Amino acid sequence: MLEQVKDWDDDFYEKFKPIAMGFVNEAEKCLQCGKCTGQCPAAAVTPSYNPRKIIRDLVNGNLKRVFSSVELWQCFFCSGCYSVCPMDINFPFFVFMFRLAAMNEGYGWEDVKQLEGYAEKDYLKKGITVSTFERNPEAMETVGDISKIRMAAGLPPERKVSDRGLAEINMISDLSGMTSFMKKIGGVELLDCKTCDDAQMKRCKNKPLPAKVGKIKTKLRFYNYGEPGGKAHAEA
Amino acid sequence: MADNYLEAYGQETSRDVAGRTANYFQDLFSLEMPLGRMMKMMPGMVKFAAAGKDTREDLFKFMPQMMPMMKQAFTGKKEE
Repeated sequence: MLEQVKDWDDDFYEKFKPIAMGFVNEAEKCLQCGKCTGQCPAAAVTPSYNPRKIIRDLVNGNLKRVFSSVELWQCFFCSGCYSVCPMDINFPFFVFMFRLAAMNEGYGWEDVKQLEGYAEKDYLKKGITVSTFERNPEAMETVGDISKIRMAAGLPPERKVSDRGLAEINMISDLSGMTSFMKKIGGVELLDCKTCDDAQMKRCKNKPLPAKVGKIKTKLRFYNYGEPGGKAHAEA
Repeated sequence: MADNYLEAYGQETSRDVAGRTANYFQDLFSLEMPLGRMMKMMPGMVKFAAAGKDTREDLFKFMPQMMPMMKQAFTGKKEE
């Protein structure tokens, strides 16, 4: 099947600007210079990820390609592209907005699901934003478990947050809709290769991606901007 | 299973997707808050207000004013 230029909605960006109330701007000024891609650490690891191409597709209105791509989910918001952009385009904010839109289309829920464990285990119950278990494995080897260091220094193993602080965190979570969102995506366990048993491994081979995250049906995403590459490309 | 995004979308064009996305963002950035969403926010606000001493006093002062408003929101009738 071939796609034609008339299928693209080149008015979309103009329609979208007033709706977003000034949160997004200046994408139409993009020079396609590629400075964003050149300095991007995510693009260095995954060469198919290319901020320049995503901006181009947004302005041209090729939204199917952007929303169904794996690449939209490679950005980790370092904002390096924003700092080098000669036209001051806030690309990370576009990524943020278009991840929401992609989720509305049914893509990428399995990536968001991975935040749930962190939110339910530590953030909402204890108010801790950085858990001891999610530290860099290399740091764990050299420095050791942070809770042991804290105990040796005469501190409790984890930081204590006051009841009022905890209530405030929960209020913010309720007000911003995060609590109801977490409830919506709950229900399906994601498989972790390090801890999985034989039964899970079998299931994993039959069914590589979760078709449903909580109550939401997910769709399969594609590498729409080229070969994913990975380690071999990063070394070359 | 589809091999690429064009097969996955089938006959749908980017114009259809753009329409859906524009509607989604219009709802998301709408300043009008539906009653359902407002009611979802209530437990969090009450939980927070009940946690501290000063905020608890404010909550109890505000309760008599709040109840008629909530009744009106549910029933649609204005009490006199």
